Amino acid sequence: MSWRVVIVTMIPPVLTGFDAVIRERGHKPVAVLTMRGFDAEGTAKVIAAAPPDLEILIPARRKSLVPLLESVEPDLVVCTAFPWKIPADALAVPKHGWLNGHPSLLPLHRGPTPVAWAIRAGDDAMGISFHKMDAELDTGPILVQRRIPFGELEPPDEFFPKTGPVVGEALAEALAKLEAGEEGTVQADGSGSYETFFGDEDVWLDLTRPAVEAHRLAWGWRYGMRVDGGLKGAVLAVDGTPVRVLGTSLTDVEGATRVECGDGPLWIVETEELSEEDAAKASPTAA
Amino acid sequence: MSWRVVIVTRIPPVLMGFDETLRERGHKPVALLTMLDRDNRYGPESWNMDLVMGAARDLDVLLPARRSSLAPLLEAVRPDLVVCFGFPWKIPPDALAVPTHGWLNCHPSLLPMHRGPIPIAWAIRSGDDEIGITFHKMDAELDTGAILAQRTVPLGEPEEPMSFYPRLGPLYVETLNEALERLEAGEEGTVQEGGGYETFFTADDEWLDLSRSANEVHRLAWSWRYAGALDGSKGALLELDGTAVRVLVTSLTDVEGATRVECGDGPLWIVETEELSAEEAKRSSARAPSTR
Repeated sequence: MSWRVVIVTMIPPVLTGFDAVIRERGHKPVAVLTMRGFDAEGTAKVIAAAPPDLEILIPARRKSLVPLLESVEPDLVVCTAFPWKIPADALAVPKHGWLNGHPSLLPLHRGPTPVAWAIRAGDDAMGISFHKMDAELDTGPILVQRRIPFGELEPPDEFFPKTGPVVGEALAEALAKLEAGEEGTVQADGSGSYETFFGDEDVWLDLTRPAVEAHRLAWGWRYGMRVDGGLKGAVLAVDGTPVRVLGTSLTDVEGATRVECGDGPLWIVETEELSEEDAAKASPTAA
Repeated sequence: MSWRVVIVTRIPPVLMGFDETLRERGHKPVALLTMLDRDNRYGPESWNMDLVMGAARDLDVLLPARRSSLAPLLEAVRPDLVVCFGFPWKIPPDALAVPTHGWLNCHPSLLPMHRGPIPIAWAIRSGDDEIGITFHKMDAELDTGAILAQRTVPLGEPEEPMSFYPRLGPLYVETLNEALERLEAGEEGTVQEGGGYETFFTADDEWLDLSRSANEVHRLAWSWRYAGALDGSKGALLELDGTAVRVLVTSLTDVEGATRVECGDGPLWIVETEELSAEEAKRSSARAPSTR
């Protein structure tokens, strides 16, 4: 059995990783479908990473998904990190549906920034769940799930590359189950939760809260994003000047700045200055 | 009448100009179809992303991996018309048949003269006094379809491509408008008769031969600025004081500071040259004509 597969993503290593796993299992990646207007640099990298035998499709709107997909006749779509909600008619194009990789232990942390929410919630692990996409967000039956411990929190560009092998294994297993005709495990009604982007109320670190909460919020922001143009956290006024906190530690780190939280100390390991634009956004919302 | 139009090109300013002209005429550009130039063969590296990111937000962007994908990808966006300029693939009949009104192709020559991939280079090299802009209905052969609109552009003095091309922009727009108007009126265009096909330059064209007439040498040097070669050769080469250089600009009249050389029928002034890369120098010495 060899399926024609379309890969839908905005993340270059996801494209190359999925492409390799799909080929290893004897399937044929035929196209990558991505988008522009969200992150120009990311789009450029996806295009540059695309193997030369893949068509590259960049729809301008959700309505274009169906005809563009139909033109490449997929048996299966494999998707991770694509910001549009997929309409039912596009879900219906490939006969084996859409396999979505969501980076959480579903039904926990549905939504666009699940890793940020897992960190913020104090979870000690994230997950990768491959599920059959349905018309709601991140709600379809789960084929494969793997737990990925966070360990010591670290920046996304250090952490995510380490998750590649386990995500690849999970995808291979999910494909094996799909090939065997398995339908997956339905996510129980009413289980789980949907969490959207962080917002204005999440921007400032509140040092009256417990240290672990401030620590988790600061790190959560490293994995979060905003699409509303609002200020990105975590922001803290240091000596009267708001800065963005990039890394914190619950234990003493040489050279770090110690601050007192509601229940004990927190060490500010790394900060960056706010841009002028961000500083202007910060002043009216100053806590 | 408003048509759904797909723009097919590898050249960012062509995309922008065509898109604007189409909208001004009340048509609706629906997609950019282009190809990824992974070897930078058809333009600067930046063009890939200039095209993809520069295309108007409401255009679907399609990058087919092969010629056989053209028809299905086009069908997906249901064009009434395709407008094409500077796209390196020969278009198969099934893709030509997708839009109701066919493919309108722009070819920068006075068709039926100078069909092929580098018509401006061939016009210059042939000693023509002018080049052309021709919009024609594309058929299954290259640059042979019925002509809808044509303009003449005087060639004047040698000029850098990067200053020559942008100057032509308004004339392209004018010609495209006329071609669209004729298509809208249901005109079929004027069938071409005669004409010839000229391909890329090759290593055989690389060296300037000073035993030829000064004008011929002048034109060959000038034309290389507008030429491409599939075999990697890049003229025009000349040995000056024992070293092979690339001649960029020549003049048939005396220019201060230029180097005078003697051609078969009189002098030619070498105005500007550039050094060859080490790799090119090695390659060119192996190819240098033995008569030199």
